[in-house]
Amino acid sequence: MPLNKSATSFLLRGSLLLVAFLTLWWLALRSPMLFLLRVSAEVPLRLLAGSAASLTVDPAGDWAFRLPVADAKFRSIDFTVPRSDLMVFTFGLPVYWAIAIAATPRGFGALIKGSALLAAIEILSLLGFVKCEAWSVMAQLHSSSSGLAQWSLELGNYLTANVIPDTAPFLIAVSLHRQLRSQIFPSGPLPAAPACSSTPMKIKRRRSRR
Amino acid sequence: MQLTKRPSVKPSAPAVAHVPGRPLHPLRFLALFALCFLLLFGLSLAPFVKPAILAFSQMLVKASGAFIGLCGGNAMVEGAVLRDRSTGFAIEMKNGCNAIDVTFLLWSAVLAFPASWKQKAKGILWGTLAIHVVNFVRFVSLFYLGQYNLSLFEFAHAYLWQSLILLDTLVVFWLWAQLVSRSAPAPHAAQ
Repeated sequence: MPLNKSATSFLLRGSLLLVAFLTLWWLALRSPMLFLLRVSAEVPLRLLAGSAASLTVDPAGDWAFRLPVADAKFRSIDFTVPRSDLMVFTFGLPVYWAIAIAATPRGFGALIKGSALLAAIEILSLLGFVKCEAWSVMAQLHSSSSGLAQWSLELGNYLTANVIPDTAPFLIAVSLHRQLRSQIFPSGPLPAAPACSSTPMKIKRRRSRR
Repeated sequence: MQLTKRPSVKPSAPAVAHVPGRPLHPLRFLALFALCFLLLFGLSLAPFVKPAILAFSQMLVKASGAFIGLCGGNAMVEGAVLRDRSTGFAIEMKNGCNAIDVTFLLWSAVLAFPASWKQKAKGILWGTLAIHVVNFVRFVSLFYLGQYNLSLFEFAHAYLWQSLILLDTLVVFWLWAQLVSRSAPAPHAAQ
């Protein structure tokens, strides 16, 4: 496969920027981003799960959820998600910044739009993950989960906690950054073969008129 | 006048640089990509496919152990677990570490892209190989990094290498799409 220059230079720039932004995130941005994620997830959590839903942070930094359930035996369920499992919902932003800057260094408008979109996707992904955890806890309490239900839970859990946070920055970068998109999906007119291009025909016509 | 004798070439719409007559429709591509990915990924979690995936992970660990042994290392393979004999440090290759999900991402993008089946097969074959070469380097590097610093291991394992492999996958797809576009015949060649 012949190496395309723009693709390889993008790979190099992207890799270096990924190392730089992820190191910055790991050393300085993790805790503030987790705080912002919690603040912004609390309102939609209450809206979706009811006003009795709560989210508290324990001394270890793990998040303790209490969600009301419509069940004959239980009024609510409690479960804790470790801090290490929650960080995946914040690392998409530095990844997106690295890819976006590697693609279009001056595309600030798209960078801001993409960051806002990604932040919203990460909150939704976290809420989906919490919902899957709640279903999983309920299935354990009732010890009644069929093979299909278990498969659905596993799929939902993996999609919300791994696939969406990992792939969303790349998909958003390709969708919003026109320069990157047009390089990956070249949709411009092909350079036509001289025998059937329109320019030589015009020349022929002029010659025949003479 | 010679005008009547010139070839009757009708002015056509701008040709799209993929397969003539089959332009890339972004929404169609996205829908097909998502569908293929969900199907492949859902299938990989099905109980009857899990043993095959476990066997694949074990094969990767065995290859890593053999490579480390060749380079003078002292690693021991126990199923999908790679253990250092001297320090006792061990890592297990699970779903996500075996690059199956990233491979499925590439397959879905290739399958959704307008190209011939031969080109798709080539893209899947070479792309999968490229991803797994990088993943092999990732696994071996993580084995040594974990013995050096656990915090650094966590950072590299869960975040840095994961993003680098996804970037690699994007570039592999980019190169393949460029190759397909270049190999597409001229728009009027079929007329």
